[in-house]
Amino acid sequence: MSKLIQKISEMNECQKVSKKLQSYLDSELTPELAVRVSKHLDLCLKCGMKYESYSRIKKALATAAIAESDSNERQLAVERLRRFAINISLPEKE
Amino acid sequence: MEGRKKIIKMESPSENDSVRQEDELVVKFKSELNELMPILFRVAYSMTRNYHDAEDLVQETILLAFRAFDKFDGRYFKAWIFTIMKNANMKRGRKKRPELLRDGDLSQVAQEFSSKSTETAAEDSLFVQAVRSAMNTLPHAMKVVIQFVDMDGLTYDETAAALNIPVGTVMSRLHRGRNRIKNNLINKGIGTKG
Repeated sequence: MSKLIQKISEMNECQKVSKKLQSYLDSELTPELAVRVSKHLDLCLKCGMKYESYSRIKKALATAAIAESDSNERQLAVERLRRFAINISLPEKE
Repeated sequence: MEGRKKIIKMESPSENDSVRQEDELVVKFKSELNELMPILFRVAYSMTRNYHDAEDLVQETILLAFRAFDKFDGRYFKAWIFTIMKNANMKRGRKKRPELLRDGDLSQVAQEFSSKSTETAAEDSLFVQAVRSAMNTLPHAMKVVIQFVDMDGLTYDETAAALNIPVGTVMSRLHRGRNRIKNNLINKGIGTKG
Protein backbone atom coordinates (compact mmCIF):
# COMPACT_ATOMS: atom_id res chain seq x y z
CA MET A 1 0.00 0.00 0.00
CA SER A 2 2.78 2.39 0.90
CA LYS A 3 4.47 1.60 -2.45
CA LEU A 4 1.25 2.51 -4.29
CA ILE A 5 0.99 5.79 -2.42
CA GLN A 6 4.61 6.51 -3.22
CA LYS A 7 3.99 5.72 -6.94
CA ILE A 8 0.98 8.07 -7.06
CA SER A 9 2.97 10.75 -5.31
CA GLU A 10 5.80 10.39 -7.86
CA MET A 11 3.32 10.58 -10.75
CA ASN A 12 1.80 13.75 -9.30
CA GLU A 13 5.26 15.26 -8.95
CA CYS A 14 6.02 14.31 -12.59
CA GLN A 15 2.87 16.08 -13.76
CA LYS A 16 3.70 19.19 -11.76
CA VAL A 17 7.32 19.26 -12.90
CA SER A 18 6.35 18.60 -16.50
CA LYS A 19 4.37 21.85 -16.56
CA LYS A 20 7.38 23.77 -15.26
CA LEU A 21 10.12 22.13 -17.35
CA GLN A 22 10.33 24.76 -20.07
CA SER A 23 10.26 27.67 -17.64
CA TYR A 24 13.05 25.91 -15.73
CA LEU A 25 15.01 25.59 -18.98
CA ASP A 26 14.60 29.33 -19.55
CA SER A 27 15.65 30.18 -15.96
CA GLU A 28 12.25 31.76 -15.39
CA LEU A 29 11.29 29.92 -12.18
CA THR A 30 11.59 31.20 -8.63
CA PRO A 31 14.69 29.81 -6.87
CA GLU A 32 12.50 27.55 -4.68
CA LEU A 33 10.69 26.03 -7.67
CA ALA A 34 13.94 25.68 -9.61
CA VAL A 35 15.46 23.65 -6.76
CA ARG A 36 12.37 21.44 -6.64
CA VAL A 37 12.49 20.79 -10.41
CA SER A 38 16.23 20.21 -10.32
CA LYS A 39 15.92 17.63 -7.52
CA HIS A 40 13.16 15.83 -9.42
CA LEU A 41 15.23 15.76 -12.62
CA ASP A 42 18.08 14.11 -10.73
CA LEU A 43 15.79 11.21 -9.82
CA CYS A 44 13.27 10.87 -12.68
CA LEU A 45 14.56 9.43 -15.95
CA LYS A 46 11.36 10.19 -17.91
CA CYS A 47 11.30 13.89 -16.95
CA GLY A 48 15.06 14.03 -17.44
CA MET A 49 14.70 12.83 -21.02
CA LYS A 50 11.92 15.32 -21.68
CA TYR A 51 14.07 18.13 -20.30
CA GLU A 52 17.02 16.98 -22.41
CA SER A 53 14.95 17.10 -25.61
CA TYR A 54 13.83 20.69 -24.91
CA SER A 55 17.36 21.62 -23.98
CA ARG A 56 18.76 20.24 -27.26
CA ILE A 57 16.20 22.25 -29.22
CA LYS A 58 17.06 25.44 -27.34
CA LYS A 59 20.80 24.90 -27.85
CA ALA A 60 20.29 24.15 -31.55
CA LEU A 61 18.38 27.40 -32.02
CA ALA A 62 21.06 29.37 -30.16
CA THR A 63 23.64 27.78 -32.46
CA ALA A 64 21.56 28.70 -35.51
CA ALA A 65 21.36 32.28 -34.23
CA ILE A 66 25.16 32.46 -33.94
CA ALA A 67 25.52 31.02 -37.42
CA GLU A 68 23.10 33.56 -38.86
CA SER A 69 24.76 36.54 -37.26
CA ASP A 70 28.09 38.20 -37.60
CA SER A 71 29.02 39.22 -34.08
CA ASN A 72 31.59 41.78 -35.24
CA GLU A 73 29.14 43.51 -37.55
CA ARG A 74 26.51 43.42 -34.80
CA GLN A 75 28.92 44.95 -32.29
CA LEU A 76 29.86 47.75 -34.69
CA ALA A 77 26.19 48.53 -35.31
CA VAL A 78 25.51 48.67 -31.56
CA GLU A 79 28.44 51.05 -31.04
CA ARG A 80 27.26 53.31 -33.88
CA LEU A 81 23.78 53.37 -32.34
CA ARG A 82 25.20 54.20 -28.90
CA ARG A 83 27.07 57.19 -30.35
CA PHE A 84 23.90 58.24 -32.16
CA ALA A 85 21.90 58.10 -28.90
CA ILE A 86 24.54 60.00 -26.89
CA ASN A 87 24.73 62.84 -29.39
CA ILE A 88 21.02 63.30 -29.89
CA SER A 89 19.34 66.35 -28.30
CA LEU A 90 15.85 66.85 -27.03
CA PRO A 91 13.58 68.64 -29.48
CA GLU A 92 13.15 72.40 -28.86
CA LYS A 93 10.08 73.26 -26.83
CA GLU A 94 7.70 75.74 -28.47
CA MET B 1 24.91 72.76 -23.12
CA GLU B 2 26.17 76.35 -22.66
CA GLY B 3 22.78 77.62 -23.84
CA ARG B 4 20.99 75.44 -21.30
CA LYS B 5 23.20 76.86 -18.48
CA LYS B 6 22.37 80.43 -19.48
CA ILE B 7 18.67 79.64 -19.52
CA ILE B 8 18.84 78.06 -16.07
CA LYS B 9 20.39 81.24 -14.60
CA MET B 10 17.48 83.35 -15.85
CA GLU B 11 14.75 81.02 -14.61
CA SER B 12 12.86 81.19 -11.30
CA PRO B 13 13.69 78.52 -8.65
CA SER B 14 10.69 76.35 -9.56
CA GLU B 15 11.52 76.52 -13.27
CA ASN B 16 15.09 75.77 -12.35
CA ASP B 17 13.98 72.62 -10.49
CA SER B 18 11.87 71.58 -13.43
CA VAL B 19 14.81 71.99 -15.84
CA ARG B 20 17.05 70.02 -13.46
CA GLN B 21 14.47 67.22 -13.25
CA GLU B 22 14.29 67.14 -17.04
CA ASP B 23 18.09 67.01 -17.26
CA GLU B 24 18.16 64.12 -14.80
CA LEU B 25 15.50 62.33 -16.83
CA VAL B 26 17.54 62.82 -20.03
CA VAL B 27 20.63 61.36 -18.32
CA LYS B 28 18.58 58.40 -17.04
CA PHE B 29 17.01 57.98 -20.47
CA LYS B 30 20.38 57.96 -22.27
CA SER B 31 21.90 55.65 -19.70
CA GLU B 32 19.03 53.17 -20.05
CA LEU B 33 19.30 53.40 -23.84
CA ASN B 34 23.03 52.75 -23.71
CA GLU B 35 22.57 49.69 -21.52
CA LEU B 36 19.67 48.36 -23.56
CA MET B 37 21.22 48.96 -27.00
CA PRO B 38 22.40 45.37 -27.65
CA ILE B 39 18.93 44.02 -26.81
CA LEU B 40 17.24 46.77 -28.84
CA PHE B 41 19.39 45.82 -31.80
CA ARG B 42 18.70 42.11 -31.32
CA VAL B 43 14.95 42.71 -31.19
CA ALA B 44 15.14 44.98 -34.26
CA TYR B 45 17.15 42.30 -36.03
CA SER B 46 14.52 39.71 -35.08
CA MET B 47 11.89 41.94 -36.64
CA THR B 48 13.82 42.77 -39.83
CA ARG B 49 16.30 39.83 -40.22
CA ASN B 50 18.72 42.30 -41.76
CA TYR B 51 21.52 44.31 -40.07
CA HIS B 52 21.07 47.45 -42.12
CA ASP B 53 17.31 47.53 -41.62
CA ALA B 54 17.73 46.71 -37.92
CA GLU B 55 20.09 49.66 -37.44
CA ASP B 56 17.66 51.95 -39.27
CA LEU B 57 14.81 50.70 -37.12
CA VAL B 58 16.71 51.31 -33.86
CA GLN B 59 17.68 54.82 -35.01
CA GLU B 60 14.08 55.55 -35.90
CA THR B 61 12.96 54.18 -32.53
CA ILE B 62 15.44 56.41 -30.68
CA LEU B 63 14.28 59.48 -32.61
CA LEU B 64 10.62 58.68 -31.96
CA ALA B 65 11.37 58.06 -28.29
CA PHE B 66 13.08 61.45 -27.98
CA ARG B 67 10.15 63.16 -29.71
CA ALA B 68 7.80 61.49 -27.22
CA PHE B 69 10.16 62.17 -24.33
CA ASP B 70 7.60 64.28 -22.42
CA LYS B 71 5.43 61.14 -22.17
CA PHE B 72 8.26 59.18 -20.51
CA ASP B 73 7.93 59.15 -16.72
CA GLY B 74 11.16 57.30 -16.00
CA ARG B 75 9.43 53.95 -15.34
CA TYR B 76 8.91 50.82 -17.47
CA PHE B 77 11.54 51.95 -19.95
CA LYS B 78 11.85 48.61 -21.76
CA ALA B 79 8.12 48.19 -22.25
CA TRP B 80 7.85 51.79 -23.46
CA ILE B 81 10.70 51.65 -25.98
CA PHE B 82 9.78 48.20 -27.31
CA THR B 83 6.25 49.45 -27.94
CA ILE B 84 7.69 52.40 -29.91
CA MET B 85 9.89 50.00 -31.88
CA LYS B 86 7.04 47.63 -32.63
CA ASN B 87 4.85 50.49 -33.88
CA ALA B 88 7.73 51.93 -35.94
CA ASN B 89 8.32 48.56 -37.55
CA MET B 90 4.63 48.17 -38.35
CA LYS B 91 4.63 51.60 -39.96
CA ARG B 92 7.55 50.64 -42.11
CA GLY B 93 5.30 47.87 -43.43
CA ARG B 94 8.30 45.69 -43.91
CA LYS B 95 7.67 42.40 -45.64
CA LYS B 96 9.04 39.53 -43.62
CA ARG B 97 11.79 37.67 -45.37
CA PRO B 98 11.64 33.90 -45.48
CA GLU B 99 13.76 32.61 -42.61
CA LEU B 100 15.31 29.61 -44.31
CA LEU B 101 18.90 28.67 -43.73
CA ARG B 102 21.16 30.32 -46.25
CA ASP B 103 23.83 28.37 -48.13
CA GLY B 104 26.68 29.63 -45.98
CA ASP B 105 24.95 28.92 -42.68
CA LEU B 106 25.71 25.24 -42.46
CA SER B 107 29.43 25.74 -42.90
CA GLN B 108 29.33 28.40 -40.19
CA VAL B 109 27.44 26.03 -37.93
CA ALA B 110 30.05 23.39 -38.61
CA GLN B 111 32.78 25.83 -37.55
CA GLU B 112 31.07 26.13 -34.16
CA PHE B 113 31.79 22.45 -33.65
CA SER B 114 35.35 22.57 -34.95
CA SER B 115 36.70 21.11 -31.69
CA LYS B 116 34.47 18.05 -32.05
CA SER B 117 34.90 15.07 -34.31
CA THR B 118 33.76 15.45 -37.89
CA GLU B 119 30.98 12.91 -37.37
CA THR B 120 29.64 14.67 -34.27
CA ALA B 121 29.86 18.03 -35.98
CA ALA B 122 27.93 16.73 -38.97
CA GLU B 123 25.27 15.18 -36.73
CA ASP B 124 24.96 18.40 -34.74
CA SER B 125 24.75 20.50 -37.90
CA LEU B 126 22.03 18.29 -39.28
CA PHE B 127 20.15 18.52 -35.99
CA VAL B 128 20.45 22.33 -36.00
CA GLN B 129 19.18 22.41 -39.57
CA ALA B 130 16.28 20.08 -38.72
CA VAL B 131 15.26 22.21 -35.71
CA ARG B 132 15.48 25.41 -37.75
CA SER B 133 13.45 23.88 -40.52
CA ALA B 134 10.82 22.60 -38.02
CA MET B 135 10.66 26.08 -36.55
CA ASN B 136 9.94 27.54 -39.97
CA THR B 137 6.77 25.45 -40.21
CA LEU B 138 5.28 27.13 -37.11
CA PRO B 139 2.73 29.94 -37.29
CA HIS B 140 4.39 33.36 -37.30
CA ALA B 141 3.13 34.34 -33.81
CA MET B 142 4.69 31.22 -32.31
CA LYS B 143 7.86 31.48 -34.35
CA VAL B 144 8.62 35.06 -33.36
CA VAL B 145 8.35 34.25 -29.64
CA ILE B 146 10.75 31.30 -30.01
CA GLN B 147 13.07 33.51 -32.01
CA PHE B 148 13.13 36.19 -29.28
CA VAL B 149 13.66 33.74 -26.39
CA ASP B 150 15.81 30.96 -27.88
CA MET B 151 17.71 32.80 -30.61
CA ASP B 152 17.97 36.32 -29.23
CA GLY B 153 18.16 35.47 -25.54
CA LEU B 154 15.34 37.71 -24.32
CA THR B 155 13.51 36.94 -21.09
CA TYR B 156 9.76 36.29 -21.00
CA ASP B 157 9.17 39.84 -19.70
CA GLU B 158 11.30 41.43 -22.42
CA THR B 159 9.58 39.39 -25.12
CA ALA B 160 6.17 40.35 -23.76
CA ALA B 161 7.15 44.01 -23.82
CA ALA B 162 8.64 43.78 -27.31
CA LEU B 163 5.54 42.15 -28.74
CA ASN B 164 3.06 43.99 -26.53
CA ILE B 165 1.45 40.76 -25.36
CA PRO B 166 0.95 39.32 -21.84
CA VAL B 167 3.72 37.16 -20.35
CA GLY B 168 1.24 34.26 -20.17
CA THR B 169 0.79 34.45 -23.94
CA VAL B 170 4.58 34.42 -24.40
CA MET B 171 4.80 31.28 -22.28
CA SER B 172 1.98 29.43 -23.99
CA ARG B 173 3.23 30.26 -27.52
CA LEU B 174 6.80 29.36 -26.61
CA HIS B 175 5.94 26.10 -24.86
CA ARG B 176 3.48 24.96 -27.52
CA GLY B 177 5.94 25.96 -30.25
CA ARG B 178 8.76 23.93 -28.73
CA ASN B 179 6.41 20.96 -28.34
CA ARG B 180 5.54 21.19 -32.02
CA ILE B 181 9.22 21.31 -32.95
CA LYS B 182 9.84 18.28 -30.72
CA ASN B 183 6.97 16.35 -32.32
CA ASN B 184 8.11 17.37 -35.80
CA LEU B 185 11.57 15.95 -35.04
CA ILE B 186 10.10 12.74 -33.58
CA ASN B 187 7.97 12.29 -36.72
CA LYS B 188 11.13 12.58 -38.81
CA GLY B 189 12.87 10.08 -36.54
CA ILE B 190 15.32 12.71 -35.31
CA GLY B 191 14.17 13.70 -31.84
CA THR B 192 14.12 11.73 -28.65
CA LYS B 193 10.79 10.71 -27.18
CA GLY B 194 9.96 12.17 -23.81
